[in-house]
Amino acid sequence: MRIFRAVVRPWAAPVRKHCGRLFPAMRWFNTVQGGAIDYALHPKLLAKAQSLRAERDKLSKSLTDDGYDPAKALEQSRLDRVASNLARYEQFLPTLDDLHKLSVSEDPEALELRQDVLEEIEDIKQQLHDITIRIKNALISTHPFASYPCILEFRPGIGGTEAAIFAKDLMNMYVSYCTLKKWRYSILNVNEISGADGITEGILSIDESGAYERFRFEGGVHRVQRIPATESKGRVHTSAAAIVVLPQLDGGNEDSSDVERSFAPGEVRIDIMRARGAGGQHVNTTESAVRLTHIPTGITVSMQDSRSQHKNKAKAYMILRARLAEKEHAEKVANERQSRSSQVTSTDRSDKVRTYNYSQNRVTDHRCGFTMYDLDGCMDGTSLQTLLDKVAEWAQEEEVKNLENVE
Amino acid sequence: MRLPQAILTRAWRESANLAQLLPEVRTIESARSELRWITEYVHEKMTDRASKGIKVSEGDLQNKISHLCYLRGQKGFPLQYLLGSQPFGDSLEIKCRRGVLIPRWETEEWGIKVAQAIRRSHPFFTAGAQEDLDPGTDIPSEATGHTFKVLDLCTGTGCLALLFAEQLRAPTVKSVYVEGVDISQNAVDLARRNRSINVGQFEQYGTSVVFTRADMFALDVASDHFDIIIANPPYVSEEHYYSCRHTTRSVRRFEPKQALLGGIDFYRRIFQLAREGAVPAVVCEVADQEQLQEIVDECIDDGWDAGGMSDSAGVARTVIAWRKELSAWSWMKQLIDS
Ligand SMILES: C[S@@+](CC[C@H](N)C(=O)[O-])C[C@H]1O[C@@H](n2cnc3c(N)ncnc32)[C@H](O)[C@@H]1O
Repeated sequence: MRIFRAVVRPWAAPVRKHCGRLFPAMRWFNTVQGGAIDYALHPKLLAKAQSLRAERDKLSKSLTDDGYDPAKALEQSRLDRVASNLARYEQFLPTLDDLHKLSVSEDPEALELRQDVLEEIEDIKQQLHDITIRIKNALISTHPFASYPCILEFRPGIGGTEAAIFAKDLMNMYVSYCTLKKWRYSILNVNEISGADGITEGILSIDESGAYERFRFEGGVHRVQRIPATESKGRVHTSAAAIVVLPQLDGGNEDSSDVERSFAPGEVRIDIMRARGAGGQHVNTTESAVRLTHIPTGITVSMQDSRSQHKNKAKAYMILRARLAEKEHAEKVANERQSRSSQVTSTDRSDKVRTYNYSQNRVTDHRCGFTMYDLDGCMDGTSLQTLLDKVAEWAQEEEVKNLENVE
Repeated sequence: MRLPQAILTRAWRESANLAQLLPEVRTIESARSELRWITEYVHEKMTDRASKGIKVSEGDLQNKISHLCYLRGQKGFPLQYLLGSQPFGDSLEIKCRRGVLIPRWETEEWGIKVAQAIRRSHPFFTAGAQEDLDPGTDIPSEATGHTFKVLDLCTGTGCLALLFAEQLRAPTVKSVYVEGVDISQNAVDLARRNRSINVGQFEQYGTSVVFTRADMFALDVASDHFDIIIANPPYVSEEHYYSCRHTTRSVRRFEPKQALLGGIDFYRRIFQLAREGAVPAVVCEVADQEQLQEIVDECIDDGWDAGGMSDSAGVARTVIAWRKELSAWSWMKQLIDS
């Protein structure tokens, strides 16, 4: 803990009351730290914070040298938060030690002030506690895709037609949210089902940077409990739809073929639907559907939204790239997790995340346990934000816990 | 070929409009897509009208949709004529009208590939950047001109000419010039209309597009210094035109014969024009492998390197040729099928 010595001690500002008068001559004492006290950072976290502070200086240099990059800027602001809070932490901690010494001193002058000193200690502990929380939050690394726009994919799960209808309701919920926020979005593809207002697949692109971070925890199985429009006996059914959240890596890319050329020749197979016969001038078909198959992974993307095959192909490539990036990231996270302590919990789990209960006008998020009795507001986008905030808070806490559990 | 009853029943159950579309559109999936496009188009049109103060009822809307489905599915009208346009390239909207051939996806595909390859590899476009940095550099002699000139023969709607205008962006102080030629006044009128609709996609880059009415057999480009000739000439043989296996009924019934019937004479003439005008490169759409071979054998002399490029459906779709002695175009061999 010797590094503390370099820090200028904040006599006047943080330690109010008598401190200035009490310790003008006091010098450095070695820090005393109990592992279990909740105002002190775990040594591992402290070390991490210190190494991030060192990294910050490197990063800010590269930001000025290599020009602006939103992902780097986001990381920079996180590291700034680590550094500034760490500085305050390092200022407060020795003050607390000094106060501790003083509180057990038998010096008559000190005895007289003991009550004040004890109050001061409590006050500083509280402040330190707040600072450590801020540090921990800033220690959680920014998700590599945090600054990107995103793509949300919707697919019905169990529940037949009702699930397909719910998949569409869910997609509309995010569309309304974007409309309210004045966020740019586009529906890349919708496969509608016969005879009802449902979909077998919907792909929504949200073209705002940072949208990935906003919707990161929306992925997973969303469950609905309601009387389906198709149900004649008026019974409540439970069905489900799944959401996949992908990073959109090509936002604002003006050259349509750049994405296509980011793949090696032969890596992707293109199938044109119903492409039989002579083609060319002999046929004036509107067939524009395209299917891409990524040969190394077997991932396929079908697109039939536009009348232009070229546009369908461009969209399909964009989605393919997003799926590959997400897959790669998920694998990386899984590997890291394996090599870490088993106590680390995952915030990316893909099981049941939420229940929408229509008869009770209720939405419950199963991860954070938050329940909101405003289903309509949720579905029309107006109160979705509340839910997103609660989940984000939960995820943050989870990750902080993970930080401490790391071996 | 009659549609299986099961498909028809399924379509009827879903919607009458869908069932209307089936005879021409054939599959439920395609019919669904077309119904969606038709519905979107009608809604857009009606919103447009409503904004001009004309009253439209829900009934008008539904009537319009089912009428279009009827024309499409029962009468076989091409969707592009009914909706009046086809999206093309990155952001072009090409108006389509009876009497002028509908742009095909194959044409769009090779057009984009070729234009983008030119932009990536031809010294006119690649040397531009260096020249900006260092005004003293020697650029290869073929690229010293300040205007890159494209000749699009048999331009029709003007789709290819406009696609090249959209895709080829000249470096600063240089410019691109595209000329489209067609024998049909109908086509030239429509091409000009398409230019005025899409001019926003290229004029800010100093690109200009001109459409001329002319018979390519009576054309003289000897002193025009074009850098490349592109063309989608009529290439359907008499035999294939009347064979249902090759040419669909809708093409025969609704698209102009003059835009379709043709063949080797057109290619011979195109390469003759290229020789007369000392044009270094030619790319043309072709019907199939057989025609490609015929062109390579009969129309292209030893001064050229040539080969074919297939489309995504695996059909030989273009003949690509460039003058052997010119290094500025030798990269074109990368486009040729291996
Ligand atoms: C197959 S269409 C191609 C249209 C357009 N380039 C496209 O790709 O959609 C052929 C066009 O060639 C035109 N054409 C036919 N004979 C011609 C001739 N002798 N000279 C110039 N154009 C001719 C037709 O009017 C028609 O527009």
